[in-house]
Amino acid sequence: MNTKRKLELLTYISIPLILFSEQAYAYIDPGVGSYIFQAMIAGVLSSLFFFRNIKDSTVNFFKKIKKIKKA
Amino acid sequence: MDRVPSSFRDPSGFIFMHNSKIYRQINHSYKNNYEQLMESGLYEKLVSIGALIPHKEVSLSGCESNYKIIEPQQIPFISYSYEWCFEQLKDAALLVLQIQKIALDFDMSLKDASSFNVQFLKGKPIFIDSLSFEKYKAEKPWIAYKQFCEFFLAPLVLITHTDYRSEKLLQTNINGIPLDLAVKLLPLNARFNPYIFLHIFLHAKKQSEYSNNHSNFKKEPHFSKRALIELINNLKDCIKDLQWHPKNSVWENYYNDGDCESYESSSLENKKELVSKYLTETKAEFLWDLGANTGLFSKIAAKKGISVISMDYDAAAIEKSYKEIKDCNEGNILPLVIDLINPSPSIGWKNNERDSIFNRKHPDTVLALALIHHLAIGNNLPFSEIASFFSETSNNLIIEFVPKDDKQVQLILRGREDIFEWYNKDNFEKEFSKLFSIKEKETISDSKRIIYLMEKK
Repeated sequence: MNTKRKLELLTYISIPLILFSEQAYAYIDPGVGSYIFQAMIAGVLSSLFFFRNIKDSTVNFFKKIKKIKKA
Repeated sequence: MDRVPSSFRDPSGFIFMHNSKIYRQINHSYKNNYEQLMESGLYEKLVSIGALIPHKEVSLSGCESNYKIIEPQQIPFISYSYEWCFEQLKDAALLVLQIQKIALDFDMSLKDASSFNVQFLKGKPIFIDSLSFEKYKAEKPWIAYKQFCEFFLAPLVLITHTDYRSEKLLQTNINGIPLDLAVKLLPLNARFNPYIFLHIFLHAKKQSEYSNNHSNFKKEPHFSKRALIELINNLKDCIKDLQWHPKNSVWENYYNDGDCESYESSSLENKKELVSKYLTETKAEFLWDLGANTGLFSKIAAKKGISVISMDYDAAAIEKSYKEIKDCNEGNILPLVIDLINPSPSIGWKNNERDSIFNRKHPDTVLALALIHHLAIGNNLPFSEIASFFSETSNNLIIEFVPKDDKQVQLILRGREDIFEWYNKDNFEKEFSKLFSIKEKETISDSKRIIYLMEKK
């Protein structure tokens, strides 16, 4: 068996072990697909967090201006 | 110690009955998580906002405990998500997300997100699984994300985009509606909602890819806390935006002022007085209002301090009822979508995990107003069957007899052969008298309908 194949097999075995060995008390099946999917969209979600912060800051800035104008 | 049939999956502990009360045993394996829940301040925070069921630690003689035994505040009547209207399921979903978000502030996370973790207490959803919290595992995806999408997001989206009747799929899919099924049932335009596209369509696609093919991932999934918080925000925004606008159902407008075809306003007022009087006479404490419509009479009972389960098969009517209950903060009514002709069966493992509606707590009084003709003529049930059903359900019965020449009965008979020569007041009284004593009866003013107060023999 060549080195590449050995590494692939190690990956196939270790990922489920990693996923399941730390979750002795988390008894539900998270679904491997759902688990990996979250990792895939992590970047999208983090950028949403970034844009949400910009939006919130902008909205708060204009609210402050409105308050100052009223006063 | 009688372990509750549905409580076998979680190795952290289980629910059991003892002297007619519900308790929860906590196993040693959950000790660290329990201590963090209680000592970090998360438990206090969640209980203070009414999100988590409060409990007290107890020791019971005759019960071998593992790590601890706790007695949660008792839920008077258990209900399931396939019996809830849209707004109830939406509120339950938002509650779970709110709890997950707060838990993260205390370095904890929900390890499951099934709708069976939520019950209704005093008119509001409350989280009942105290053992659902685990220490947050840094940089790991949310283990309960799939379950949340299948138990909450998929049915909510199916109600708003396909048909509200798809919610009943939760009854046949006890582990949540599979996303690939939701994808097949949703219309094309559902894809144009970016949240639904992400959490249902794309999610389902990746689920099926990875279930068939293990060779695509080469490294451990990484998911920052920031991404997890944004995932929760995303799901929350998606669900908050979902609105169900049912087309006017016949029953939703049944009692609206000026739009009521069955009662003169004086008749309706007289009916309300009679029902109120009979409820006082039965000394009712726990009532099932069957065919409750939007809960007009349930509210009369609730104002007298009676706990009411308000049942109707029309989800739009129950939706309206629940929204009104929320607006008035009426804690005595739990509205549920139940079809009496085909009520919730016992389901799950050994057909014993989730109780049929009739295996749950029975009422001391049943209200059956404007119902008999639907059962007898609408559903071809003889009086003997109907009487037997009511006598098995409760000791006291307040029932309205609707004569055949009534407008509503004529509507049901429209286009049908009248094979109901037996349907009349005398036969009704004769059959019901075999099982009940008729204590009082009175004809509603300006109407031919009669209200009866009966007691089981």
